[in-house]
Amino acid sequence: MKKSAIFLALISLLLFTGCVTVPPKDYTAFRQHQPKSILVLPPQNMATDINAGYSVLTTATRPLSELGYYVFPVVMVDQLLKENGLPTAAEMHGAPLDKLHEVFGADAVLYLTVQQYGTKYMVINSTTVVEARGKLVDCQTGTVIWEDRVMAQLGGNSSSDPIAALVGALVDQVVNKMTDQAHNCAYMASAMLLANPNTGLLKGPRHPEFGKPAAK
Amino acid sequence: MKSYLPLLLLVTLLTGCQTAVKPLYYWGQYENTLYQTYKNPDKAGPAEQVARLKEDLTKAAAQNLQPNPGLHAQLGYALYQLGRTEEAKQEFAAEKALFPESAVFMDRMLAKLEGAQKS
Repeated sequence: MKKSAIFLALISLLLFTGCVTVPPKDYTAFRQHQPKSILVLPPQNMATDINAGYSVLTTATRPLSELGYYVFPVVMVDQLLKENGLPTAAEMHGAPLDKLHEVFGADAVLYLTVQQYGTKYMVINSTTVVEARGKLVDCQTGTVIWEDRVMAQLGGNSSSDPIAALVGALVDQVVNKMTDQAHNCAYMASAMLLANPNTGLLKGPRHPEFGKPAAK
Repeated sequence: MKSYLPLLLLVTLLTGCQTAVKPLYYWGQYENTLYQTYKNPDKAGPAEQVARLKEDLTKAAAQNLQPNPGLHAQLGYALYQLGRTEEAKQEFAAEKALFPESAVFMDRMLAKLEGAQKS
């Protein structure tokens, strides 16, 4: 079965490449302000597709929850903020931290920005790209406890990183037939940004490995 | 549905490569339901949300898994939007019981619903 061969290739590739050490990220501030709960605000959208922000928003809950954090219901939060005079993501991002802490009781707020989102159709094949930035801020002190950026790509072979290109190509074969390619790419982007074992968030209190030194 | 498997696999692998990670929660239609509220709002209003999220709760219970954070709260909010206040209160209370991290927010919602009922 061809699909299972692709699976195997994907798994081995990730196992061999996923745990390679890179210059370690500084998690000092993160540990000092270890959150239990994370409020994810609707992302600011710099991309041309008006769906980009919400596509990324709805893919962020799973990686954060599975890392061991409580994640506030993102759509309910969005709707309530809109009802309370903050109609756009930009305005929500400008809301005072102490107010967000008071209303939701959140320990930290995740600010996301989507920079690129969508499929570029080219002569030979098409490339789907989701580029996003994330910044996690401690609600009580305003300290930035984590930030990173990611570019996830499906299809094409323009990536300068040979491993990323290879993963992209393999995933492409599997998911190419799916209708909403950019949204699938957003799933990848959120997982890569938030849950990468080397650069993502540390494991949270609800994770069985929380606080274990081997975990990071 | 089958075609989502590779992506889920990827997520699982990325979330931890020390050991095979058992998911902490049941993830049914929550994410897609949320996405559809923006993508196809006509087909994903509060009534549809209630139907899908309740189905998720039944399936999670059948598999003895914990529903994901936010599921009870989102369900409660959809019920509230439909005017089903009593059921909404139960869901907010359920979210708070499962996830005490949500207590401040859920208490606020419960107080809001109490206020709405009195007036």
